[in-house]
Amino acid sequence: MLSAASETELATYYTMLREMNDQGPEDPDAYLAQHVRSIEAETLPDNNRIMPLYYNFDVTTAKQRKVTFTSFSSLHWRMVMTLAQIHYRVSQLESLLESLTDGDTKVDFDGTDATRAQVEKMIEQLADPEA
Amino acid sequence: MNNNLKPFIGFRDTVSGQLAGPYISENQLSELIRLLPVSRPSPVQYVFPDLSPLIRHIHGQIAGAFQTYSQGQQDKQLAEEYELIFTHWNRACGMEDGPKKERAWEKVTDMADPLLIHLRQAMPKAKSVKDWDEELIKNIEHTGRLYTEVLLFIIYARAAYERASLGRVSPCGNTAGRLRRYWPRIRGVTTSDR
Repeated sequence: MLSAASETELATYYTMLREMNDQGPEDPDAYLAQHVRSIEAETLPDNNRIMPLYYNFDVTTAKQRKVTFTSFSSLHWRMVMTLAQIHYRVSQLESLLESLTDGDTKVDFDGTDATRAQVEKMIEQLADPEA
Repeated sequence: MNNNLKPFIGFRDTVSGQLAGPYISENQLSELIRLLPVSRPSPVQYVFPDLSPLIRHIHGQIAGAFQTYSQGQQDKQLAEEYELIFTHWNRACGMEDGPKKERAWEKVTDMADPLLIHLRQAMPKAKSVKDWDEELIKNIEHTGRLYTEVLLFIIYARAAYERASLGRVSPCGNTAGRLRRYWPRIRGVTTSDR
C-alpha cells in the first residue's frame, strides 16, 4: 500500500489494495501522511550552533524524516491486479446474494428470460466499445 | 489514449459507488453480476438478470485458456470436469420446464461441489514475491475464473429451480448460507498472496 501511495501514477492501485485489505484511510495522500508522521524525526546537525542543544531547548531546529518505499515491478502489479479481479468478481457474487437475502428488496424472477437480450448487448459493448 | 502500455486498473469504490481508475475489462464483466433495476412502475424493484450470456462469454475465455496452455495431468482432469459441467448446464438451459429440467439443474449443482474442491486444490499456493512469474499469474487468473464460473453455474441453477431459497434465510442451512461458505476460502487466497 505504501508503494502505491508513494508514486503518483500508482495512486489508483492504492484504493484497490485498500479495498482488498479492508483497512486504511480512503485517500492515498492521507495514508502517506500518516506513514510519514509515524517515522521518527531526526535532528539535522547544525554547524552554526555554538551552544550544545542541552543548554538551551528553546530553539528552532531543522529535522528530517527518511521515507523508504519499494518500487515494485510491473509483474508485481499485474499479479496484484489479477488477484484484485478475482476478488472483485467474488465480491460481486457476494453482493448479488446479499441483495437477495435483504427482505426489503423485491426481486422478479419471471422476467429473467426477458433480460437476456439486454445482458447480451452489454457484453457485446464490452467486447467492442465502438459498436 | 496513449497509455496502452500501462497496466490498467479500475473497480467500483464501495464507499462512493464511483468507478475509480481506468477500467479493466474483466471488472466490467463482473459489473454485470447484479440485479437489474426495474425502471417502469412495478411492485418489484429488481429483475434477476439472465446470467447465461455472461456464463457463455466466460466459458469462451476458459476454453481458450485450456487450449493454449494445459498440458499437466491435473489440468486435463480439471478441463474434463469443467467441460462436463458446462455441457450439463447447457443442456439444462435448453430443456422444457418440468421435473426433468429440475433434475438436470440438480445434477449441475451436484457436479459443482467436487469441482470446487478440486479447483481449491489447484489454486497455486501463496509464493513469496521473488517467485512470482507470468506463469503463476496466468495460473491464478485461470483458476480464479474457473472457480467463479462454477459459482455462477450454481447460482444460475438455483435461480432456475429453487429461486425462493436462493436468497431466503431459512432455519436449516439455507442456500445462500451454503453458497457463502465458499467465499472465505477464495478470499483467503486472494488476500494472503498479496
